[in-house]
Amino acid sequence: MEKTRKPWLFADRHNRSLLYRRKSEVLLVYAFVIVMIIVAALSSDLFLVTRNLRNLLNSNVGLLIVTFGQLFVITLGGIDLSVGAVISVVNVTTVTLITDDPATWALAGVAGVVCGAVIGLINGLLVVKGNMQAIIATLATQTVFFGVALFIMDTPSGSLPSELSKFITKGWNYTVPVLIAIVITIVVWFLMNRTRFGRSVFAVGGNEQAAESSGISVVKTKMLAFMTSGILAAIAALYITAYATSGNPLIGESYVQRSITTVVVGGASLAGGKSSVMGCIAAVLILGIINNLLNLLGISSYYQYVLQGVILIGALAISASRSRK
Amino acid sequence: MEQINSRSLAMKRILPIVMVYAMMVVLAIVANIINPGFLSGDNVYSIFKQIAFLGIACIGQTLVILTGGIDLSLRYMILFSNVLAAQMINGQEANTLPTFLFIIVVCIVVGLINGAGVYFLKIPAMIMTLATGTALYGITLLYCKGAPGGHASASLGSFVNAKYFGFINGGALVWIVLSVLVILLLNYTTFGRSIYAVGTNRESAMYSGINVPGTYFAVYIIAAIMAGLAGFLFLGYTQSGYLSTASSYNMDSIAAVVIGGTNILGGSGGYIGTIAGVGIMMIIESLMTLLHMEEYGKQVVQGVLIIIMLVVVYGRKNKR
Repeated sequence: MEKTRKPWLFADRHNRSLLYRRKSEVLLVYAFVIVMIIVAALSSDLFLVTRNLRNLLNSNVGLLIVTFGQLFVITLGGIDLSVGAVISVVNVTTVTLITDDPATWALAGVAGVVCGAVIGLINGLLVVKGNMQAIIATLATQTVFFGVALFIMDTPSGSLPSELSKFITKGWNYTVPVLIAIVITIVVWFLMNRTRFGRSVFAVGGNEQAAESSGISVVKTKMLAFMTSGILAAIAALYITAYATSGNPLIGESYVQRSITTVVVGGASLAGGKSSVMGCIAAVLILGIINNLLNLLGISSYYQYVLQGVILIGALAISASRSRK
Repeated sequence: MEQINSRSLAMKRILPIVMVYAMMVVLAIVANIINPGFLSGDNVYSIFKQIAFLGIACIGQTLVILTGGIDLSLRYMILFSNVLAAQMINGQEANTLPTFLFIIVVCIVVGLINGAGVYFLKIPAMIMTLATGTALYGITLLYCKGAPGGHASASLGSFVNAKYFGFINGGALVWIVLSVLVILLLNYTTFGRSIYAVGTNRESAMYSGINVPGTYFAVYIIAAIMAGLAGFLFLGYTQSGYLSTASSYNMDSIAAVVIGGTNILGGSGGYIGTIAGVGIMMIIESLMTLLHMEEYGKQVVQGVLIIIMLVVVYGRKNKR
């Protein structure tokens, strides 16, 4: 019992300091969130208003879910550039399938998740059987599936029934999106930290050979991680579609960069073997608050790009300088 | 024994390159069968008119990937240079050279920032260049206020587009000269060796006395300058700046470099293979344009072909 509560693979003493270091890194990211909140509250009266906070939360649930998918693959030592294409494909598919008849809603949801799983499976096969680097394999599948999305719908069009999109993004007095986020966070946290699969992901990311020789199936772990990423991206796409209320073949483009950024700012190493579910949440909040604040202050979106880049470098520099000690 | 080893080592290095060039030739022949006239003088010349930009950008990408990094700011550097040049030159002959020099200075600064992030702050190259790229994109939009204006000067246009020696345009000529230089640089200079050493194992490169920070900085500065140059020459080709310029160049350049046999993790490969990779990308692009393919079809075909070629490239490594 005792054993399962601590990170494994390392001797006990080493273990504790490692655990402490990981926690302190995550705490640092949260400290950064608090600083951001204080800065935001001081610079705009409109920030700490219920309506704005609701907005902040329900506009970032999609990014949070994509980030969780990306988390699995990055912890594994890979990277998934195809999440954006998954989001686009699922978006245009569901918008095409959904009519006013509620029976089609479930069908579209299932179809979307299946799409995500299939794309994840293809990525996994290319990496495992095709012996490709994850970045290259997903680069290629991203090109293909953006093409597929454009084939299904060449210009932004279509719309969702308003009661459906309202329920998902604003239902039960705005508790539905929060519930979605909480449930998915719990599931992902449990998968990563309390299951064999999660541990295999960490082990393969830390040292593939060592993982293989300690009896972990590297092939299976990689396939499952890519499929999880695809499925989570698809679930995110369902939320994003409800939020956007319409179809757009390019809707997923920005999520590739943002999901990688949030996972890394959340304390993960691109080399694999190290990541944090709780850190991801903080990172999504940081990015969300920055965007929200810039919008509130009426700053041109052109500055937003510049500031995003600069803040990203700053955050990474801080976390890099800490982890070197 | 040693002789055999070195010979098989040489074979190991040459064989993949031969394969890539064979792939390019086969692809060109297939293209000619699908669309007779593909290998006609006119079409080959028009491919050469466009190949230089991706080719020059790929010089930087190859060097960066050889050190084990990746440059995602490349596309935004090209866009920045293209939009800035159009607006600054605005048709005036006198502005051409100062604009060019100014862009080079900006490129050096961007390269220094990338290098500093990757070497001193130890930020993964992918994330670091993504961040500088995003910032550059914002600066570009701020500079042109969302709508690029201005146009190239006559001399820039005629330099890039004029036919030299009866078969090659100025842009491609610049590319060929730079290609020769970078191949010599990679194979016959200490700097070239350092790039491979750093990409193979940074620690051991450091202990064997290689100037590791210098190598990183130089590589990122060269990459930025090459991207800036590509954007500047591109202006001569298109005459005015567009926000859509080079939007696919990050992906295209990575694909070309990897198809050309350079290991995405760094340490092995080189620009000779990349040239064939660039050729392959351009052949696919040109064929699809000739066939009037829709955008979605282009992307699907391109992606599938990249996968097939990579399975050939990487699948071979599997068996060894």
